[in-house]
Amino acid sequence: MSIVTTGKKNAANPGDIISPAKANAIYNEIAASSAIIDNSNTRSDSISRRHLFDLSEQMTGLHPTFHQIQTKFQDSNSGVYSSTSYVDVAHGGGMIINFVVPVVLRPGEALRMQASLNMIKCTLGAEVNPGDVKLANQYYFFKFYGDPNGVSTALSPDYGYSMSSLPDVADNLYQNIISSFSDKVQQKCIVQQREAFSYVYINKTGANVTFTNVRVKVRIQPPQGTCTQNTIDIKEYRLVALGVR
Amino acid sequence: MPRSYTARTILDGGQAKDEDFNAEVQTPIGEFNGQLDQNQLPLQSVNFNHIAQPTVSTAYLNQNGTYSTYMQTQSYHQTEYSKTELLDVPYMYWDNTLYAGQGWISLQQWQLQTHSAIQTGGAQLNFDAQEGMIAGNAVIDFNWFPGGSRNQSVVPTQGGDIGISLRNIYGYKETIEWGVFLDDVCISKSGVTYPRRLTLNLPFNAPTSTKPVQLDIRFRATFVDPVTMGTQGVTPPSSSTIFATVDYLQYLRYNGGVLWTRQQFR
Repeated sequence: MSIVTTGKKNAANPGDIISPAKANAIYNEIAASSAIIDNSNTRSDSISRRHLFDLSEQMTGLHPTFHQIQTKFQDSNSGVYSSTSYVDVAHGGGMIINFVVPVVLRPGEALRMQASLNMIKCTLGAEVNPGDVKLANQYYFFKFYGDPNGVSTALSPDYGYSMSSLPDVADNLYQNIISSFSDKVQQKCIVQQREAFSYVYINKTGANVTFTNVRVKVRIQPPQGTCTQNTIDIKEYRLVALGVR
Repeated sequence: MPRSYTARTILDGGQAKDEDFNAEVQTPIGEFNGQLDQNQLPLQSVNFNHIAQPTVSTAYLNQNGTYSTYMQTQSYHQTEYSKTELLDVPYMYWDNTLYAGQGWISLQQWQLQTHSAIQTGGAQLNFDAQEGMIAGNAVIDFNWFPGGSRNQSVVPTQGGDIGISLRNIYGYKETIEWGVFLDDVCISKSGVTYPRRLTLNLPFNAPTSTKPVQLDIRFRATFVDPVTMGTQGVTPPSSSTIFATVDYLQYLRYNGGVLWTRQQFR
């Protein structure tokens, strides 16, 4: 903590003549010293009413530790997805959080997101032409999106999953062997899976970044050749987003 | 004491008695020079620094891609790796020099094997920790992929050679396991995973002391030497010739991911 001092002493003795210039000089020096009192050299501003107020659960956007915590949860509904480009997980009200108060990330502050979905099953498309293998292109992806400063933007890397145990192989003879232990495409073997992922978005810019929403999007890899599109069924999901400082 | 002192300007030709002047000046000077009272709230436990704005490191460190932001009661550290072209992601086969049986292999070492140092990410965090706790997630998008071999037998007959081909998936029973290590101590494990593409979300938490720490992702897997696949599962007919062809090598591919942690120290 720096120290503010003034060298001026109480210098007026009885009988002295105090000129306006001398008095004003002293006053001005005191005023100048007082003007440089700030948070760096006083302790009086360590906790203000604002901070005490923000520690309540209110969504003010000014919380000193957490801007805002929002959760989104749905149950009972399910949705089928087949888009080859990223689309919203829209069933059950949508896997999107619209912040009550926009989250304003100052430089260096972060937005933390965690999500999970219940994958019910994957359904393979049909093979139309010989040689095109329906299991050859069988990935699906999730990704966090947000709207920093109003622009819909992909935030995280792709988070990929395969429908069977043997992706990437464009050979039906191999696929027929391996699909026997694929647990997302074989009706008798399907096990629901909770698939989870997370991401931390740090504001690496020099300016504030405002988020009004975050969401999770999904896409399915385009099928090989003439095969028809694979689809996935999603049921419950949960999305949590919180701003941190 | 008010936060700032406002001078009461004495106009030219005006007069001030000595006691007026002293009373005016004595109080603010005294407080400037240490005569503090409750208005200054000399709290020792919480001061301005504790609730100041967070600071963030301004650039990635080339060696590990760690991005850190230090706040007043916590810090966040993050590294990520994202490539859209599959050719840009690292592959590992049975003959990789990092693979030596069931030992843990550093994802960072594997990344460095494939990329220049500045392109690595998602694998390792280096940061200055303080006494407290860390909690975070390792998000790992990987493809653990079995191999495929073809055993071809050629049986000579009177009518000419007859070729028999048998396709065989190998390595489909082999597993991979991922772990998160804090200063070489395992703090989280995924458990074994069978072949497929999967994104793991591996949570962890651990106590830390005040020191530079290293947090990294490692894995251990079992690769099958494809040479041993030549006659596996096949009883060769007598007088036959067997050719073993490996169509698809068993491999591990790292598609990308994020490693992030929160460190809370107050």
